[in-house]
Amino acid sequence: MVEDEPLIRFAIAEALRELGVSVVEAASAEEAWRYLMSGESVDLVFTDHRMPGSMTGAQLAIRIRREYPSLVVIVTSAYFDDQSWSEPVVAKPYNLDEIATALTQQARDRQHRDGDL
Amino acid sequence: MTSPSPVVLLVEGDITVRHPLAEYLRECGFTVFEASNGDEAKHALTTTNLQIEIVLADMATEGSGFALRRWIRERGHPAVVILAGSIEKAVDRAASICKDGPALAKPYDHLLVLDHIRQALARRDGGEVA
Repeated sequence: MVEDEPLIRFAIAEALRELGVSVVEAASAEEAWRYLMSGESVDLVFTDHRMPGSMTGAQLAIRIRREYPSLVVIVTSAYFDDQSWSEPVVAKPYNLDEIATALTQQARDRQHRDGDL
Repeated sequence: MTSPSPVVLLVEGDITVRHPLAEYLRECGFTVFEASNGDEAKHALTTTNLQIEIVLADMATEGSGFALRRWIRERGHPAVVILAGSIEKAVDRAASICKDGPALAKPYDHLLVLDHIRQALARRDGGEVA
């Protein structure tokens, strides 16, 4: 979960934990990338687009696509105009319960695909 | 948002340290609000409805340490502020909170948390990719 607004980050992370998902909270794209580089296992990355720092969510997503092609990555934004990321973007604001349920399903689908469950 | 379990605000700028520490505290039964710097911590303390009872803050994190403790005290916030000057101290402090706080849901060795953090830091610094 990559989100620079701490209250939003906390709210969605807690909603996901209640659904049984293990969540890592990153406050920036750089933090998320650092965590991935530490070698920890991740199934899905849900990232905001516009965040402080040198990397946007879309730039993080592109980097993940290149280095970790099997990882599910979803970008969210209130206003998105980055042509470099052509995949669907989840519009903000989103319904907390709906997005938590959808992310949980996608993470589990990814685990099933990889035979982790 | 309200929470039935005691709330810890964890202020730590390194995600490879913050995450395992936060998970450890959650295993102990706390609700953990993660802040990556002092500004996020202040934002949490002033805007969330959560009753933050403990602030566990890394002294080297930007905007954290003594300045954050002073800011909290000046506002009369009732949270207990615990400062840690190193990863080892942070893990020790987290272990003491667990010992004195909510009952452990299951045995969980804080030394394993420290070992996990050290391994993650070593992998990160070595540039190893998953």
